Amino acid sequence: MADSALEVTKLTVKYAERVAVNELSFSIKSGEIYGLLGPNGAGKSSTIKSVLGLVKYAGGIDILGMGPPSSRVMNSIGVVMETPALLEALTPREFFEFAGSVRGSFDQKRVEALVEAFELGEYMDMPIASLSAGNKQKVAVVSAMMHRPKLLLLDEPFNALDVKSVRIMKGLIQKHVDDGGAVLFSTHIMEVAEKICTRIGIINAGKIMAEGTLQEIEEQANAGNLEDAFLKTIHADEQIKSLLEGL
Amino acid sequence: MYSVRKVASTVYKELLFQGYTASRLSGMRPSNSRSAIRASKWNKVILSVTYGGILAAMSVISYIIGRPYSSSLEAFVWSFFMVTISSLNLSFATQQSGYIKDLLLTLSVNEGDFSRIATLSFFMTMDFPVYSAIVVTAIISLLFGGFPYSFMGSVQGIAIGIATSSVFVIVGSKGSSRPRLRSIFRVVSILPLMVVVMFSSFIMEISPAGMNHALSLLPVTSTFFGGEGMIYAIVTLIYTAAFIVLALLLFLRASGLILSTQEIFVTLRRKASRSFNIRGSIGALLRVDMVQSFRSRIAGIWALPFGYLIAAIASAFSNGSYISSNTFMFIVSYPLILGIMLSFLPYALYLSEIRGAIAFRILPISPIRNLLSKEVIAVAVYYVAEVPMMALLLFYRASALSLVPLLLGFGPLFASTAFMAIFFEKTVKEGGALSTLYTIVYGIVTLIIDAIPLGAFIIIYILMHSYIYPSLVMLVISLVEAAVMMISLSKK
Repeated sequence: MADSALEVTKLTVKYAERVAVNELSFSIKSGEIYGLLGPNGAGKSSTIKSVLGLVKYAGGIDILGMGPPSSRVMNSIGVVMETPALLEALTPREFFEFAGSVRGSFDQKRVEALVEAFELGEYMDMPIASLSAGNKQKVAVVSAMMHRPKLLLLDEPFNALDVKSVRIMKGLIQKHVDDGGAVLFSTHIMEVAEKICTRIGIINAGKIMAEGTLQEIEEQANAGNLEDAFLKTIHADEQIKSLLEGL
Repeated sequence: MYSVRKVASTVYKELLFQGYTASRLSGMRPSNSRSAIRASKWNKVILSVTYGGILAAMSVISYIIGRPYSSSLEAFVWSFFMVTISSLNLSFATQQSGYIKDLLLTLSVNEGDFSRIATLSFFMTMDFPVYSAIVVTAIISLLFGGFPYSFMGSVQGIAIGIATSSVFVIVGSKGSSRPRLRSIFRVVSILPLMVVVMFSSFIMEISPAGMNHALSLLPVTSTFFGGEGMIYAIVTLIYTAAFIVLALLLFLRASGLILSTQEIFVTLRRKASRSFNIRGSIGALLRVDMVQSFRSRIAGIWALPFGYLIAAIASAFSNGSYISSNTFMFIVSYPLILGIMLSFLPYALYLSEIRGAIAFRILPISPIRNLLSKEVIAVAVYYVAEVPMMALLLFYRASALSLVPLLLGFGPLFASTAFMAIFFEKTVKEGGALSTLYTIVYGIVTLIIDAIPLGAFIIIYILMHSYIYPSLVMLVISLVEAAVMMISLSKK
């Protein structure tokens, strides 16, 4: 049996009186790409932020068998946030130097290869603040992958990326799991999830509504593809029909 | 058809919220958005009431104790702070405010109305404090009669305050092909603030009779002489008018920029490719702290301790005999206060991290390790700033033992920096949205943290007339405070 990369048990996140995540449980094993799918405001980002310790939460989180989120655990994690989390006063070169320095490991060849793959070379000495949204996202991706983390947490990682970069990123994710890594991946784009996820959890109003492989999810919902299965699972298919009729 | 005033009011609310929470910069959203919006709305009201109250009290006291001229500088200093602090948050909001202009364009707002919308919304960030200062000082001046010291000082303070806020917006809003020059300009841009801080420490020490009359021709100090005769009153009026014109010009220039700013950092830097430079963890943090603070709008904070140092040295040279005759008082009133003033520096370093707070949290950087970097910088700057003071003491033949308090006097700064780390963690956890009252309470606690060891130093010195024991006690108390703070920080 594969090692557990992430165990989330009865996770609850509240913003004031609003419950964003409601007793959510799931686990990810090494070699898996777990897709967290849900509509806007379903609790995907809040779940990822909890795993990173960025928001107050109740419940259990065990990352790579090292316990709940801590600065020690962060050395084994790579993160791409929905909005790139970067130090914008720095240049990409300075940011990679900083990330490598605080992680205590820096594989220059890997960083150079990633920079070349994402065509960031000409932007390396420009302040991150001055880069386009797509290039900022690429800097975040390189920073997340440069230290070969065991677990990747990707919150809408393809935001603002061009087609070529998306293809490269998908290949990198696949290579990462082939090498024994694990991925928690949040998206609302069904086609992407359909192609790369090993297992899928459909989340709505902070709760897991369905979980399994792509085939299992489709069978549970009695649907022919993931989009239909998703809409049926969150009970939006009938609602959409009536809404469209009213328009 | 839309109303420019209504659009401006909406833009103001957005700027206020973004400035208050810094959520666009930090990437964190407030844990309670409703309370953050409410707090941001009340921020300037609370500021106007509290600072207006202090301004009124200080001015009235000046009149009652027979020093009406002092009320001009009291009014100047407090009116200045009311305006600048109230609009300072705006500098966060305007760092990425270009989206507001884009949004307005998509809503068919006439581009010709943008400057009016920007001007109105910019003024709304400081309107209550301006009204509060003017009304309070006008009433006081009318009540006590004679030359309107309080009112004139307030008008000048408001004008310089508006000019300073505008400079902050202007300085941070444009790129440059000469980034180093830009950083230097950012450092220098805090000069008006420094001048006001200097003034606030000299208010109670001066009177027109004891002052060189050449000062009656200088800006701000001329108001002190306003009641001494018609010619002095005219000089004051001329300076006041000049300040108003300056403020107006800078205000219009700044308001033209606040809706078009996309980036705060220099954008045209290009270098020949170089290799990567990997450091130790603390070394990397130190470098990032320095780079971030120098490239951000708060770069001016670096000038503050050194400005105070220069003022203190100038003051010491003007009464050298004072140092040799009362070394203790000199140490307490200048070098140790300088150490406390340096508490602003770690706060500024933390503030520069708001932009990218999540980046720090997704890297293996514990709050303690982050704090250590701030401590190293703060203590290093402390010693750089204290060395001239030590030289001054030796120059005036003070005992070598009198250097001990300065050598060990980094303690209060060390402790308050640790407290600053807790404050920062709390700020980030709340998405940058702490209420004004909460911030004031934190400010007071910081002062208490500084004051306890300093107070112990003073009391033990008075009892023992020795520098060594009080200095050691001051250091031990500070280290205990710091240890408590660090334990609390590590548990967060």
